[in-house]
Amino acid sequence: MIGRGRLWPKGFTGRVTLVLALAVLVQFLAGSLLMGAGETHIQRQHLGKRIAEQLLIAKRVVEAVAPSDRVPLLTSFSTIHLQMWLVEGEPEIGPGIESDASEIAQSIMLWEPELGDHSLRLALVRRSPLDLDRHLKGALEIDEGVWIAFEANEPVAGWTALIGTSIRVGIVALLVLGSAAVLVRTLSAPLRRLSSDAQLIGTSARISFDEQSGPLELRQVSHALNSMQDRIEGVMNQRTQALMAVGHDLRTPLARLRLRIGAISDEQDCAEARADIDQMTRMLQELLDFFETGDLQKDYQPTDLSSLCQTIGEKFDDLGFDVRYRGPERAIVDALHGSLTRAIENLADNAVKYGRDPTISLALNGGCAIIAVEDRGPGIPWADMRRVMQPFERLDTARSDRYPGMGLGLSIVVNVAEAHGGRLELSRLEPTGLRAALIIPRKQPPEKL
Amino acid sequence: MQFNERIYEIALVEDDGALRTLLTRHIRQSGFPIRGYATAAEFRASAERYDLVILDVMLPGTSGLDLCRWLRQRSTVPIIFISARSSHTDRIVGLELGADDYLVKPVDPGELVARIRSVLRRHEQPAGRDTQDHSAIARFDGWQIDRRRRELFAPDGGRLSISEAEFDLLNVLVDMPQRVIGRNTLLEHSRDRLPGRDSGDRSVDVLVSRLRRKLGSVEGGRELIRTVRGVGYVFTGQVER
Repeated sequence: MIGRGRLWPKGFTGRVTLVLALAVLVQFLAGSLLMGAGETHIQRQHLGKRIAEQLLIAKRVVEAVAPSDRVPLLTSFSTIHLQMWLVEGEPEIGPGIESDASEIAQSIMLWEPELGDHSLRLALVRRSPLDLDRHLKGALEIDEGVWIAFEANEPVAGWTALIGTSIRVGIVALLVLGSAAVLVRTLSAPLRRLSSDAQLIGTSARISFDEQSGPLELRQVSHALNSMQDRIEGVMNQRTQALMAVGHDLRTPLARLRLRIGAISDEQDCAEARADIDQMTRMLQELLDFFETGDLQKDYQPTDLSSLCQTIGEKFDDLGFDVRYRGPERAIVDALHGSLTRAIENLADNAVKYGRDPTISLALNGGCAIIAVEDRGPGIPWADMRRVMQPFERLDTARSDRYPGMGLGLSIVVNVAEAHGGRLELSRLEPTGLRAALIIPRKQPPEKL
Repeated sequence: MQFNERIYEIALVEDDGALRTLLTRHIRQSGFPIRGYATAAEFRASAERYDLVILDVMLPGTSGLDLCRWLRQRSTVPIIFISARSSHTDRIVGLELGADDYLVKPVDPGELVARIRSVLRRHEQPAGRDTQDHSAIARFDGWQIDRRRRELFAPDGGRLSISEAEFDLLNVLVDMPQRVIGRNTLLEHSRDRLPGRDSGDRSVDVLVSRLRRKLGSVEGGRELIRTVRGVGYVFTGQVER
């Protein structure tokens, strides 16, 4: 196991690339060694053959001419690859064949068997102590005490050859590794997409995972995630439907109660009972609105927000609150008329209940419409801003006790904002007050219209 | 209850026995002869004798919506829905089927009677009857008013929001174009939804001024309603049905 060290990458691409890098490294080392060995072998055999041919010709020529002509003649046999000269007496290299050079000696003998009758000395020598390369040096005895000495100018396959091979193999290895990394990245793209999509499950919209493309395992995961969402959606829908049915069913007994309280003779009791029923009716309406706005049909129509805001303001005016409107005379936006009305009414309702000097303002800003409801009340502490937008959450103050509700008012607004592809923003006003801004795009995508 | 010396008979189709009893008792006490039915089948047999039908939407077997459709194929009798469902969609579906009003349970008993009166009164008006015969949509100077869905559209297609009371008022004006309509007539027709429950001449003026301002946000819209000093208003639009 590679362990969980610092070098072990976190991501799938990183890990696969690292594993590949290790595999390629092993391949590179093995390849260098094998190729190096192979090349050395071929080079030595080749060298042996060349030397064998030249030696044989030199030997025959030398044997054929007069002894006085031998020295200059043989020297003229030298090429830029191989130097030759005549030695009378003991040659400078020791007797026998050095073990490193035995392969070359074999090659010489196999190529020109005629040379086998003569004594051959071979050694690999360095020209200077610091030289990395070794050169072949040797001597062939053609007569008693007469030797043809020779020395190859090119070094015998050694370090340089190995380095050359290594560089070539290394370049190939790097190319393999690079293209493999790109391929792994491409291969893992569906996986990365899947994981980023999976993070969105349960936020709001349904995520559709691709079951048609990508590797089999990922398709299976996609399928599993899709059916998981189906099941969750099924359970949620069932619950919502059940709660909505209960809500609808409760309205009939409430309707009976409302008619029955007419029979209460005590006037105060009757008024209180009526207020209780009104409160239950409102709470029920709030609950049902919350469920209904959670799954809105997106039948947008071009709607004038200006008259919408004004009509809501006037409705509150008629109830005895002074709600002012500020904004353009006309502003057309793609909207769900009924739901948007309900959302702005909720904001205005909060403003007249908890604040003072409520205003509804409308502004068109680029592609967005901003409907802001402001009041000069105590506002909401920054710390509670997120919480109050959650369903069934209410501000825990003495004032809110005066208006019993389900704590769904702002959640309904959030639902409606999201149905429009927009959002609700709450902020504090200086020195005191609350600003609730409903921001929605002016145009909806064409396929939804 | 009498308008034009007539007695209006009402039918109530509601499957909840106790609510049916309570509602019929209340409506009878308000002066309307009424008979309750528990199912659509029972009601169908004697459907023709009533002047107004109150339908519960959720009925066992045939739903109130089906019953409404059935009735509309046969007559223009006024229909009021009382429903446990309050969504905009449910409401629009009910009104599109040709119902005259859609109320959500628990209905305030006083409001129910007021709506009964209002629907009957509208039905009695010659112009009101016209709207039953003609399509629900009327056009004037490029504007479009959908009386069933209670929606108003400007010449550019944008939906203009007006209150229910403003809508009732505009409806009356559109029904009687080029005629001077007295404040009292307007008051009578939009009495049930007047702002602040202050049923004076002034509130009609407030409604008209709000309506005029909203219509006026589109060029030429302000001139659609002209004031006739001391008498009332004239709707100057060219109405096509």
